[in-house]
Amino acid sequence: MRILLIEDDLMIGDGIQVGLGRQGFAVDWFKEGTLGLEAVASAAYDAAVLDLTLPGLDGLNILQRWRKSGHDLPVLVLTARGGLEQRVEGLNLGADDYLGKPFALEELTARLRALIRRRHGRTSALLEHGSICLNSDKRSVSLNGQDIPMSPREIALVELFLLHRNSVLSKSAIEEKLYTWGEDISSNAVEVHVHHIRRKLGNAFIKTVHGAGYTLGEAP
Amino acid sequence: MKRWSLKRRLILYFSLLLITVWLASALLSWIEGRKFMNEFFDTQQMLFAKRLASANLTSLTRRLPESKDMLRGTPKHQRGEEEDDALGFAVFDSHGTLVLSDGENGDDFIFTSDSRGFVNGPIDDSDDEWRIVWVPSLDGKYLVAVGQELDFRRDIVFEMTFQQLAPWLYSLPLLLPGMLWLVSRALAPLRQVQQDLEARRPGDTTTIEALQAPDEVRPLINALNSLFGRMASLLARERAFISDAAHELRTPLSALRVQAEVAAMADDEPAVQKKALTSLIGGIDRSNRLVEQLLTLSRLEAIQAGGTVKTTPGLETAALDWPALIADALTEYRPAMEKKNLRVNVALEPSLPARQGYPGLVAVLLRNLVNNAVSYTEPEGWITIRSERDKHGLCSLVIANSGPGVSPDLLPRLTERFFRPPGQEQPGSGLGLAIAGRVAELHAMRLTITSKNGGENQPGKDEGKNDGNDAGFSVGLTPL
Repeated sequence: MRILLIEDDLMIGDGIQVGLGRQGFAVDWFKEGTLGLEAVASAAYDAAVLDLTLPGLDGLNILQRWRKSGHDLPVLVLTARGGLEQRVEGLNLGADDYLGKPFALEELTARLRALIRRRHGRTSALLEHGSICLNSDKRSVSLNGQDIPMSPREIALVELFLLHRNSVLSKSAIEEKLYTWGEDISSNAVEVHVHHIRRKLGNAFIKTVHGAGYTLGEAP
Repeated sequence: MKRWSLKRRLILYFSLLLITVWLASALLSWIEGRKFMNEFFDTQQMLFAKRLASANLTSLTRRLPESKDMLRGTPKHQRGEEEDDALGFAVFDSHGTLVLSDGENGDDFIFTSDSRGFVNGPIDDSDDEWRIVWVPSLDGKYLVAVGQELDFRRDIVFEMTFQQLAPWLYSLPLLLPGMLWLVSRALAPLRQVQQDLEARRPGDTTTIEALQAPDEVRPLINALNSLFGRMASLLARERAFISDAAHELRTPLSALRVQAEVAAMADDEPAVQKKALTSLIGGIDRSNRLVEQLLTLSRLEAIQAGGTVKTTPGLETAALDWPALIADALTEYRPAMEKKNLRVNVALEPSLPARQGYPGLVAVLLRNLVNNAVSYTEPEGWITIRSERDKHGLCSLVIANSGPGVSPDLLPRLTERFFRPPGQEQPGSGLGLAIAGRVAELHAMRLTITSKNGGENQPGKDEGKNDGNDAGFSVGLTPL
């Protein structure tokens, strides 16, 4: 899952980026409003976390412009101004959820997952594919009821395939969802992850579509 | 006495006044009465003596019988109420032999051959003093004496005075409750105000309605209302302050919470955990500084709202030793300056005017300015602190740095509390210059902030001189 974070406070931004990163999110962090506004078009973000008081361009302003130009990604607004008026104004302008400061990272993660789930038309945290089951909240994958130990990035990749069951995902599309701007990606990173996942969940779980990328295979 | 109620005071004072007036009028009427009585009785005595002196004394009985003997046989109600001390008379011949008397006190008159006119003196067989008029008879052979006991006169004067004043004394028991009632009635508006005040909730700052209040009470009510007005604005300020403070604390608290959670979850990645813990410590320092700045600001606002500085511990006035205060502020930030390799230049004229002020607050002001300078000057830059005299000889203090400065449209907002120019990488509360401004104001100084190149100052153009001419940002403290 790739998240766009716009937050000017260095400690909060850093904490969210690291914390969400450990939960399998790829977080791009912008500290200034104008840059954040434009960043939304630069990658296929699954959701955005938006602080309201920002240098450059105010959070509500950014939200308004995104919605006007048709960006419909789920937006979670962070604010120290917890007043009813601001919450209502934010929601009216197209925010999907609100979180007042100080907030718990755990809650932020849970809400983001819920937002993304709803966007994919699901209400449960469980994604199933035959005997394979992924719990997107607990970040665990099981095969025939047995927990399979996996790295957060492997889980994120499994989740990606389970969410896009009937589409072929190109290598670059996968990289875009799993990695942020600043990260060094080795040229065969995706191949390595696919290899590991096949070893753990069976070769048939991911099918290679030659010349195009990968897609979800037959249910075991 | 100090704590007596108005009612008691009024009644006591009024009673005292009444009694004093009564006593004075009694004294006056006694003096007047005595004068009048003396005239009256002296005339009467003289008249009687004249009558006796003109009578043919040789043919008269030597001694008259007592009155009660003379009135024997008359009905009781016709005997009158004679006072035997009222008047007595005696007639002596030239040898002092009593030839005629009233048969009572006249017998006891003491004869002296040279007695003439009115003489006060004793008589035989009595301790009382008598007033006797001595008149020779027309033929010169006799001396006529008509006397009256002085106590008799005094009794009459006293009686008359007392009779005159008695009704007043009797009216006192009636006057007191009347006064009590009137005073209570007159003080009712005060009691109304008191009840209003007692029924008030602590935060209530509405004014007291005083349409019925008399002129004496109205100034008090007006004063109270103006106090309530000031309290209302103070409360509003405090509330705004607390709300601001709570709001501003949310951000550092969020940072602490997020970093703490990262530290807790990253137990398998020591590097991530260590970084989070370091941030956490930094965040705690930052929150602490914010709280300190908030406290200072709230103290300053309390002082400005008219609170006494004396109630705030550690805030005493003294002559301000600028060089020492500046040196202290610089010492505190020496490590940070060395880290960024900043050059510091202090150029104070030797005789800086030593103003009276609060050294504790001025120290806070200087620390804030130096802290800003250290935070916002680029590495290898410089800070200068110097005194400057204008053409009127007014000496001001300038703290300048080679930092990038602030864009001109944001300059006026810098002293607003919690305002920080956008895009700050440095941690800060947004209170430093607000506090500095208020401290300056409290010391009758003006804080002037200038930024030369509007946020884009290129440092190092004038590196050798370091005289502040290419300062990106400078703060001046000028006495008003």
